[in-house]
Amino acid sequence: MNPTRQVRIIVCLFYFGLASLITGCKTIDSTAVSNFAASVTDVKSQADDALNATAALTRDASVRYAASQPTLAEANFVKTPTDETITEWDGALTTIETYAQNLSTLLSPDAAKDFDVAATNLFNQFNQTAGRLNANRMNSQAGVNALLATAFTQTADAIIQAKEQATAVKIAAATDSQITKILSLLANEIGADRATPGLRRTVYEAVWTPRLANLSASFLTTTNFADKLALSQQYADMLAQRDAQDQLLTGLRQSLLALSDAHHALAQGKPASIPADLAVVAGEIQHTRELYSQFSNTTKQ
Amino acid sequence: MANQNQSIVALYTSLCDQQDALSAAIQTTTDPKLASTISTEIDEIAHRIVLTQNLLFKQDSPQLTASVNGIKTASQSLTTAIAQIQNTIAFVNSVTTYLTYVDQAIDLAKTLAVSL
Repeated sequence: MNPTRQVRIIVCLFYFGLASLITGCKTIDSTAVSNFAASVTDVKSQADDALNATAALTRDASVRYAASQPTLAEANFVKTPTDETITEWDGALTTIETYAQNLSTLLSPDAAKDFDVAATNLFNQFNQTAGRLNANRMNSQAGVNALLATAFTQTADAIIQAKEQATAVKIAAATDSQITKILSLLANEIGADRATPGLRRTVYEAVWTPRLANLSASFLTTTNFADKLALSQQYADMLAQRDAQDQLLTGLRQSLLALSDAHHALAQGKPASIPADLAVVAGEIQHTRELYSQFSNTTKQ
Repeated sequence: MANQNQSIVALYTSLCDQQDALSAAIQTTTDPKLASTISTEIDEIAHRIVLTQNLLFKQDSPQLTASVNGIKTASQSLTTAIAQIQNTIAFVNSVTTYLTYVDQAIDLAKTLAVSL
């Protein structure tokens, strides 16, 4: 048999076997992982903004409470979330961020490229050594030599990628339940709505209800219509601020749940739904930034 | 918050329900004195809601820490896998270097063979 043809058949058979092995397993899309890692960083920043804004609001509310007490005491100045809670959230999201970045590094095309260069060098060296030993008859055929060189490097590349994929799939699958737990826990701490225990209800009851009640009480002590009108306007503005602030927390909750869904899709080797999940995250972050800016301006006024 | 201490959740819910009731009352009364009293009560309850919310966060903390530790372990496994690839590349490069020395030895052997 023609040696060129023989080599081609061997290479084809090898690739067929390797392809069967890889396609039979779940794979993780490296672009999706890299986008996921970037989204975790964005959500971490979103959480930091939303939690610090909430802490500042509750701290302000406690000043009014402190003023109504017989003595001025440090214990009367409280806020939620506390610095410890904010740090704990940051630590949890940083851990997920580091994990996602490591997953992204493992699946990076650069890792395989470095291996590819090393494999090419090794092949060339094999050839040179064989030539010196005068033991490679195929070396005299330039076409076969080029084909072998390509096959050698591509095979090395495919093997290393298969190994990366196998490791990534295994780790992502094992980690998925923990990621879901963390992100669900954080989402639950915010609360599904204003009636469920969580930060949303806390802010509603501990910040906005007292502020609105104070306006209602002032309204009853005023007889002048212009003053009543001014109080009514303040009341309406406060309702709008309350809803805008609630949306900051709602947006963060949506982002956390979308991140959880995106990781689950990654771990299941189903990258099709990941762009949609990460688009939700990006949309919520953009919405949060606009609300935060609007809310900050309104509060200053 | 499924795993939270139910007594703290019950206390929290009770405070919030009470706050809702006071909020409804202040919006319907026409008595300024009563409104002022209700407003003060609302401030008192608000303070306790914040304290209870912080207890709820503390209740979640061990569960969060346990899951975070799981992710840290996975992250370490990924770092190891990345290092293994680098080690493989280093190994392949060392074989290549080794073969260059083999070539030099062959050339030397050939030279010696000719001179003999």
